[in-house]
Amino acid sequence: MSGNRTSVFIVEDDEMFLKSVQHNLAQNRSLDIRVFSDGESAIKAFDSADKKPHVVILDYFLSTDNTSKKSGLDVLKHIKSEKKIAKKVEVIMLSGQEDVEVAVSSVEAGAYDYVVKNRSAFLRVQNDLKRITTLRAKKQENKKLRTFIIFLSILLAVLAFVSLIFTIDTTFFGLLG
Amino acid sequence: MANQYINLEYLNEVALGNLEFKKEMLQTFVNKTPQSIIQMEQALQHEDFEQVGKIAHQLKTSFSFVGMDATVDLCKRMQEMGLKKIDTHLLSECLIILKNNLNLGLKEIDNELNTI
Repeated sequence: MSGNRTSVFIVEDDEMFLKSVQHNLAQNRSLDIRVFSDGESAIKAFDSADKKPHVVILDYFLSTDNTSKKSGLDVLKHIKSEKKIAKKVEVIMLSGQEDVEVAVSSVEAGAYDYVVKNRSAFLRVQNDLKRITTLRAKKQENKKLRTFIIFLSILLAVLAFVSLIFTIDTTFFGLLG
Repeated sequence: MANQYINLEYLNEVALGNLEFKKEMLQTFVNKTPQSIIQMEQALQHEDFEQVGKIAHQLKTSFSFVGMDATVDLCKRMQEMGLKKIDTHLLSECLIILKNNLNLGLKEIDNELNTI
């Protein structure tokens, strides 16, 4: 995974919707996509990944039964539980229907957006991804710029120091005559 | 012959012209949806209305992909009945209608699969 690529986890238990999101996003060649059909496997992959995904597209209503006990909200809270990681991973929450409570609890738990699985869902997810990718690129640029400014400041300080030594040196030897 | 029960306009949009993907989606519908209906029947037999509601919730997405809008509305109603435990005595009748709609849809989907 190169620095310019965006890695995306899709966590969705509805096979048809999972396939369609994957198919839709796969048109964007700059995305590295991994799919999961339950919360447990997504959390396991997330925790063990050396490089965390930039974006997680997550179904709010992941089915919970005997084999799978993690709901979408549980996964979201897990991702956002570590502050250092939480800032770097954006979560787009999916829901089958408009529900204010779901939207509020998702955003409160740190979701970037809440998307209803209707006909405009794919477009909305694509737009979210564009915004997240642009923001990430800007952050990277800012980071590079900050590093360059620090380097420049150090260089100037060194030059000033050398110049000072040189001035003292010539003054001292000048006085000695 | 034009379809009466299904409308693949949305699926065609999602498929972005990829016939293999369209076929895969229709086959997933054919394989998975009858299984979900059986699970729903079993949940109803055990009076596990919450589970009926959850399955109805999941079925909405599947039916919407094949443009069975009236059945999507029926699933929404069943979801409400199941999760909120209201009018649960109507769930059996709704399930009969749901199965009937599914069978009608499946026949047309079979025809579609043969043309791809």
